[in-house]
Amino acid sequence: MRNLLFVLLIIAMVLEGMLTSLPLVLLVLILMTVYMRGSTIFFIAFLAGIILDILSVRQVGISSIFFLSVLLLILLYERKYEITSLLFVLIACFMAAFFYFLVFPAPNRFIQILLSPVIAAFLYSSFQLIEKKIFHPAKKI
Amino acid sequence: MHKRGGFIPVFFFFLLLSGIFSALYATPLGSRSVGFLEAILSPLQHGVISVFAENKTESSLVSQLQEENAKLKSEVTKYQEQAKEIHALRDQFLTTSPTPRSLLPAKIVGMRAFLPGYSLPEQIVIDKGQKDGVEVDSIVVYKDNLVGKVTRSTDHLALIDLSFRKGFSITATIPQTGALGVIKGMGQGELLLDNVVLSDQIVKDAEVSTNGSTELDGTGSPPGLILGKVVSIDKKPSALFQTAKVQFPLDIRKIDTVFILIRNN
Repeated sequence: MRNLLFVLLIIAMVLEGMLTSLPLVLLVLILMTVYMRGSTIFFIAFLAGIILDILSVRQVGISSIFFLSVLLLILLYERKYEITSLLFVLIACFMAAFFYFLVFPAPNRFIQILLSPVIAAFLYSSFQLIEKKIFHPAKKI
Repeated sequence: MHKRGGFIPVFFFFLLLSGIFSALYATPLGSRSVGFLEAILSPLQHGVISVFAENKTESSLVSQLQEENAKLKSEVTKYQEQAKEIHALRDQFLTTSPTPRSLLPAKIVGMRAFLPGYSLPEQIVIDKGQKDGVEVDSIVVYKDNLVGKVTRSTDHLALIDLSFRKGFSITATIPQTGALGVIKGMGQGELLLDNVVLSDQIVKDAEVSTNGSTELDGTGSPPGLILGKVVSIDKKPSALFQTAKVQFPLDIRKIDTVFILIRNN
């Protein structure tokens, strides 16, 4: 499952760094936080942010700072409430995308803010299905 | 089960590291390190863009005719400029000689849009940077058209704002009528010719080109670069200025190489 998330993160970095302005790396990092939850996610977010800044010719480090802040908020929230739910993923991705486009403006930002939780929900549901069918096939729902 | 609260020191460590990276980026050591990473990622950028790029070969008769039409329009603009120069009083020799410039070809390695291949990007990334002589505010052209301006430049890459991006502005003229104004980017491939006095004439379908704003050090935009074509005019007798919507002349999604005007030292 972890390997799948890492592959998805690399694909997201390539797509967002060169082809699209959708916050794919942010969405994948949020999903990784939901599934992995350890402090390793900060190292991954730091590295992903650096690479994304280099590919996008932005001030190096700024994406890392943003990603780290978002993931910290999620992990602090996780202390009190359950984050392994579709509703949390939807709300977290919507709000994260909203602030992302405040920091990194792009054209068609409103559509992208609305589309981000939809993409995250699709990925989350897919991972849930993969986990049930492949990794834990005997586990009941 | 992970240790609760144990992630906060890790967070601050990486936050500090990010801040250090950000601060070092402005230094020669930082930019060299980033340049090294850019060189490593460069083959990936070229590979990805070539896989996702649209088919650029234009073999149809319609495309050939469109290209010929654009070329002829460009020549008409040039002849109009030359006619104006001949008619002007030139009994004084121009002593100013701006530093000659050359064209540096650069491949587009990044074109971030909402829907790649469908939406128009407002910025592009090219594979040339400071080491190749690309400076901030360098003008980027494609044939006789002004594509945009360099806004950020690292060792091996440069970020270009396209002329229709919001915030972009440049002085412009309509060679056909001599009207002067300012072109402003409106997004979505549209430009606005603003600040044109009511006494000047704007004609629909007229070419709009740069007026030229070369600085003492040779930077700035040369005159005669095509910015677009007038598609609609807004003229109100009660207003101070008239405006016109201008269409960007190129489909940037179909271009893979642009040219940067760089100074010869």
